Amino acid sequence: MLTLRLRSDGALAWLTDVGFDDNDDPTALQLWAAGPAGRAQLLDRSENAHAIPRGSLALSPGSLAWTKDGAPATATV
Amino acid sequence: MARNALAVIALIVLAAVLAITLAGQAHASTAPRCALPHGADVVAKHRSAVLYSTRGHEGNDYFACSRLNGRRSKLGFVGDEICAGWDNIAHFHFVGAFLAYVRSGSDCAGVSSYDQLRRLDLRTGAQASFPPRTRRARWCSRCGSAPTAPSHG
Repeated sequence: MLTLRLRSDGALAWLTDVGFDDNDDPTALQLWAAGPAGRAQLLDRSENAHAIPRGSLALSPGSLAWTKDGAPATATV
Repeated sequence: MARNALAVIALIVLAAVLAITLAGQAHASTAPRCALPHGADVVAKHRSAVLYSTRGHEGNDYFACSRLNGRRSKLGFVGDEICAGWDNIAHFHFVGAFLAYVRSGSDCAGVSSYDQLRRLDLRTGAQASFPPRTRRARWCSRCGSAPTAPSHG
């Protein structure tokens, strides 16, 4: 599953499952972002596919916010 | 007295309806047109673009027509058979003058699949691709080598 956030200036952030177990359940996830003209950057990752709630991803002017294992995190995007 | 007031109100309403109609006609005459080709299927509609597919040889071509300037951009080709184009083009997100969408593909063995994120600037037609992410990768005797991203457009 891929969760996507798009900002009006073209900046993107997305959370994607990586790796699956024998039952096709996701085993890990990665959080990526790209600025309006920039390259994609890996911002966070976890071996727990549920560590970053998809609803916590918030892309606002100048920054991206999310929570990982209940703790807030931010990055400049 | 009351009759005069009603007449004035009716006149105001009539003038407002006329103004709205004329404004709509003026907008329609200047807004870029996104007439669809014969037989096209609408995939998604937004105030900034119309997405549609057309039947091609052994698959469907997906396009975006920008309502900002009438520019048409190809989003990709979804083949009828595995290995012939992308498996799916979906997850359309519109914000401002941008469209983000996901092209999903797989290797010819149907073992590994990918999500490729794309961004289209509806003003310029410029598209950016972000590296495909392998969603599934299992050992497969037919695979031979590591899966690579589909190269079809």
